[in-house]
Amino acid sequence: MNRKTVILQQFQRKWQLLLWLEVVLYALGAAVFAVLLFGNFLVGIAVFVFAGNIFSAFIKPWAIKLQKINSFIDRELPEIENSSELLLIRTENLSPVAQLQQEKVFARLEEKIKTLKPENNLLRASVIAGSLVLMGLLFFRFGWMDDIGKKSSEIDKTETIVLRPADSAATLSKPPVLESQKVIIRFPAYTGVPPYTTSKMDIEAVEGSRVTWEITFDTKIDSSLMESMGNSYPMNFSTGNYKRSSILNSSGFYNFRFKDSAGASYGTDLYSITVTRDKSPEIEIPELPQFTSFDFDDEKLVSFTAVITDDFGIDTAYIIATVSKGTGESVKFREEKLSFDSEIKRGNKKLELKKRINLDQMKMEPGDELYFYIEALDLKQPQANRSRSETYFAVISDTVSYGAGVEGTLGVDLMPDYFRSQRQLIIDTEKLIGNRKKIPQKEFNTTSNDLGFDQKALRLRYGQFMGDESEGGMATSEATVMTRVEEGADPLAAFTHDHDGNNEHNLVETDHEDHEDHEDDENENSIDKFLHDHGDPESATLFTDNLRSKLRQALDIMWDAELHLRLYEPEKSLPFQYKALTLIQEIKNSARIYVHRIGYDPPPIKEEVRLTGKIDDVSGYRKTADLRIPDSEPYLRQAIQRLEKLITESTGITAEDRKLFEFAGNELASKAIETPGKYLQTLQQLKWLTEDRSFSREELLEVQRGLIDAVSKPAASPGKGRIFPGAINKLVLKELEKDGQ
Amino acid sequence: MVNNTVFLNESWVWPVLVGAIMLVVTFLWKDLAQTGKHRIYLKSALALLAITSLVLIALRPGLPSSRAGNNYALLTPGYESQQLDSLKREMRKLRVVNYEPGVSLPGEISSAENTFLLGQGIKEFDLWQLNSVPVTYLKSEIPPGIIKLKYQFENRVGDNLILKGLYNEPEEGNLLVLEGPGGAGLDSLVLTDGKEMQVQLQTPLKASGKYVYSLVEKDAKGRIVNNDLLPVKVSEKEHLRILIVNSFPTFETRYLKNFLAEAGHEVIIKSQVTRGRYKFEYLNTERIAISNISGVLLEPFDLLIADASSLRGFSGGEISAIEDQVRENGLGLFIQPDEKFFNSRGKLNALKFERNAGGEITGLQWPALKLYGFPYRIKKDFEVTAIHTAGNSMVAAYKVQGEGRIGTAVYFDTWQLVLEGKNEIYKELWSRLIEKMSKKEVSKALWNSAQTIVKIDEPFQFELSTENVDPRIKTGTGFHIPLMQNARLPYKWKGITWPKETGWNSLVLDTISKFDFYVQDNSSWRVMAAIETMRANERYFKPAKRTGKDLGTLVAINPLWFFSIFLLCMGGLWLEPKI
Repeated sequence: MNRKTVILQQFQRKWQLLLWLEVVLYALGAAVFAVLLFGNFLVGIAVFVFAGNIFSAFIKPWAIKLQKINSFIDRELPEIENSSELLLIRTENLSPVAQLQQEKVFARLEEKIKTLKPENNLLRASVIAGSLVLMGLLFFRFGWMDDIGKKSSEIDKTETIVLRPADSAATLSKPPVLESQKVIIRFPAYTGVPPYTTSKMDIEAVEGSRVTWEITFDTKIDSSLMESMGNSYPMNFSTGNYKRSSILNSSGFYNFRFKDSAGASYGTDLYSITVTRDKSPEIEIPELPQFTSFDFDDEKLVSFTAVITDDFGIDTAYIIATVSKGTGESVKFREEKLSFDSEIKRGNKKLELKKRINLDQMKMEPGDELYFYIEALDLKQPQANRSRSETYFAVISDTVSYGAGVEGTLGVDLMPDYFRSQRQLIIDTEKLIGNRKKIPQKEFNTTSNDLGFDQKALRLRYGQFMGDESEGGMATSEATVMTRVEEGADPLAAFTHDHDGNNEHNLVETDHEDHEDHEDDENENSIDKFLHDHGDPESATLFTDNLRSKLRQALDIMWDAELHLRLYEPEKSLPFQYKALTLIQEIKNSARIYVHRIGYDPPPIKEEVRLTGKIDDVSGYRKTADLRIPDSEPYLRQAIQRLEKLITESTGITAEDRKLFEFAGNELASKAIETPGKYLQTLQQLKWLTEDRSFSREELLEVQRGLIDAVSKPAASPGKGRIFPGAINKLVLKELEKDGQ
Repeated sequence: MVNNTVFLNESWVWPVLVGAIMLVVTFLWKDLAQTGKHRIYLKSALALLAITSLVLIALRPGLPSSRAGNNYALLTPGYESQQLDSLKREMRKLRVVNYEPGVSLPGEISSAENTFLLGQGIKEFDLWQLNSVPVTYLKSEIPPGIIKLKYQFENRVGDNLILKGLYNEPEEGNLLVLEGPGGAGLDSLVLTDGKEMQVQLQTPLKASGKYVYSLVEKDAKGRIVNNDLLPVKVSEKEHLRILIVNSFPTFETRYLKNFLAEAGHEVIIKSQVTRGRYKFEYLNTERIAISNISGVLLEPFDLLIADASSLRGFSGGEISAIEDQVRENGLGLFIQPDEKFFNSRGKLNALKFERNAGGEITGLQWPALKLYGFPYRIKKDFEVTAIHTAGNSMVAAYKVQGEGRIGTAVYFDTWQLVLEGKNEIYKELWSRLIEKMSKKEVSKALWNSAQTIVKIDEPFQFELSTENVDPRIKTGTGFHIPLMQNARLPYKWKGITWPKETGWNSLVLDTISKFDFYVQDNSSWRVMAAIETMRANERYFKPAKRTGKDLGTLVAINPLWFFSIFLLCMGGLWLEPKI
């Protein structure tokens, strides 16, 4: 091969590659289409291989020979002057003129070959492949292939109604052949589901759907019945087929029974009807807290979006709001029905509805409360399903009763900065620790120190109850505070509303005056306050001592807490603060007052008058009753027993047996409604057994197996044992008794 | 030597002797008449000798043979070839015989010095064939499979069929499935590796009738390895007649009566309302007059339930009436105790109690069940039978008194179980108690058999207890079966039948009673059968290793000898006139 031939070969390879690509595109398109259509990868692979073969046979990429290349080049490039063939011949073998021509051709070709495009239909191939894929996707997306599948084979083999001769006479004559079977299911109008036709006899539909069965035979048959749940309904004959229609109200089973003109009767398999109930709408209100509180001067707006979903469509939705005014006995309620701001599109399955409730527009005043919930109705006829959401609350805080509401809304704002409760201290300390990296060291230290001061203030506040000398400690560090302390006899009298600081729970027995008046008693020994001088010295001492020690302990711990805060070690201080808080809580709880429950002490009975009452009016009483609860499945049990006999003795089924199996079938049917899938097959087999023909041992065994599985375990009940009173037993017992005595 | 001589055809001795004597007499008479006294002694001697030879040919005299070096190996199923090989190495002349059940063993085996029995042994009914043969039984390893089995053949509806067994060398991963009559899997367990494994399977019996359950072993891939049949007979539960006497109405009685009445039992309740006033309830039954407790009143009842305080209130006559009914008629008496009852004494106070921590009773067969209990437990005694036990202590028990039973329970307020929704447990608790305590139905015949598995063409031994003086038993196919009466217990009879068909067979005692049994083919319960055969063989060959010194077999003397003597004598008689 010479250098000049190589260029042709490269071109040849390029061409072949393009053709192969074309083949692959066609095959791939077909394969993807098949996969989407049938939902089966194996089919896809098969189609790919098949289409690949077909197309390669058509396109023949291997058939691109160098000769073809030559002619193609000659045709496409006139500059080559029909001499491309020269490139295939070795230079040495050529005449000088030819050699010259070869050189010339080669030079030209080398220049032009880049512009030359091999003949191909790549574009067409990709368009076809693309459209195949697109078509497949469309089919897949809209589920058309189901319909196509249905139409291509009118009745699926597995769905075909199987006729079984119901009596032995029928086996002799030729059974009628089923030409078509059809079930038309019309969902209730409100659901908006279009009616559809299927050949599948197991029906699943919404309550209230109208179902029509249409069955056509090749020959004329005498009559046709539909049997369902123990009843049989004749089917109407019109325009060549048998029809029956019914409105579904409950789940169940049905089968058909036909009589041909010869009088032979045929039964079909049992089919199930599963009735689904229309669900109530579901209401969700994301991101709306159950309880919203507004201050008087806030913009009092509750806005939310409710998401309502229903399986067949929502009819309407609204908000029921109740405003309560006043408290106690003077409370008044006002109920209003509000509509949503967004428009409700009737029949939609999912609605997102917005609402802004302006409490001012609801004429609400501070202290008023608004309760509201959303109610939604669906389209169900005649009685719509109704569902409601949880109740939400919106409250405008009452400004008037603020004083009493210290506990709830005290917060930080209302208290001066320089006094913090232990709980607040903990919160602040934790916050400080959290912010450590964000704030400069200096600020951190200052805050820690400030907290230390607050801790001290709190300690002093409690220490006051203990009679601690408070002034000395405060004077050294913070001059401002010191002056404050010096100003008033009670350093913290101003903040006595503090929750864990004050004595509101009588945690320590103070004087029997309100603690607001402390200033007056300041000069007295503060320990007196803890002494309980009620003339009940025992309880007093016990009570106070216990609390005193606890309080003392709390104060000591607060010392430690303060120390670490002052050393800028809030982490180490935290455990102490927690301990202090626990102790303070305990002290508070121990001071709660518990009221004894008072029981009823009956007066003692005089033994001598017992049982001496007049009983003339009391009469004896006789009652006769039959309380027997009959076995709920007597026939199922009998059928199991009878089947065993039929199996082991292989005798034929008698008319009596058929009756028994029918009764057993009814019992099983009522069980099967609860779990149709489980017992359907057994029920069907039991149904066959009631028909007049013979059955194999295996069939009987299968029915029996199903019945044993289905029949419930009998409740425990005592029975009678059976013995044979042998003389020797009696003797042994007698001897034993003698020994025992 | 002569002493040891035995005629093999001994029964022919007399006819042959008479014939011989007649021959001798005829010969002598004929000879004397024809030739006179010429050489009469010689001829008589020859003739006598000839006739004696004939007699001996007919009678076949035998001599004890020598056994030395005459060893047999009798091979039965499951023998180990290694054992046979080592036996062969030891004994050059070892003769090997294969055993087939029911077929006679070859006669020469009885002349063996020793017979080595290899394998699982010969069937019990063939053992007699080795009666007088020295046998060394070399048993084989126990094959893998179920080697012990226990289950109730006769059951009642609502009972659980409980199957307990011992599995030898279970194969790990194999599944043991208890299958119902139609082949439905009802219970299963996975075998684990080990030498032996206890297995237990159970299923509730839901319908009456005769059924064949099966125990199927499947390997890890679901293939059936083994399938053994379990015949089960299920009969309906009978209804009881119960009388309840209470000195005041209680919730306990109220719930108990509802449960019993709903289950279809006949219940009569007499509870005192106040002095001289009673409330009578007749559930599922007709009204009868109940004034005082008497024998006549109690006669039709199966169980009397009385609370302790009404028991204390009974007159002496009433108490002895109850006692009589219990002792003679088999009445059950269940006492609902109160605090005082445990320390009181009385004729009807048959059980003894021990103090125990009171409060809650736990550890009953139902896990997590708690019952209120009195601070007592029932004292264990030889005659006391437990009904319910909590851990180690008896909480409900009875004592047999004559034909009947007197019992009590130390728990109370079980009705709260119903309120707690533990209805099933409540029913089971009381069902078991009442069933155990109640009067038993006296059956006219009781059938019994030690054999759990009956196989075709193998003997089935049964035992019958009946008051019938001359019981006659027929098989289902109409054949009479002879019975053997027990020498000491005249009401006990024994019999053997050889069932010829698989499936349900029956034995009928006149018209009184029928006994069903299921006959299986040889494919099922192979391991169990092997174990039984091995045990029987071990028992049979254990007592002493019989040696063949004194008991030898007789070998007939070759009749050719006698025939040649006979020929010689005849030749002599023929030659004599010619000399």
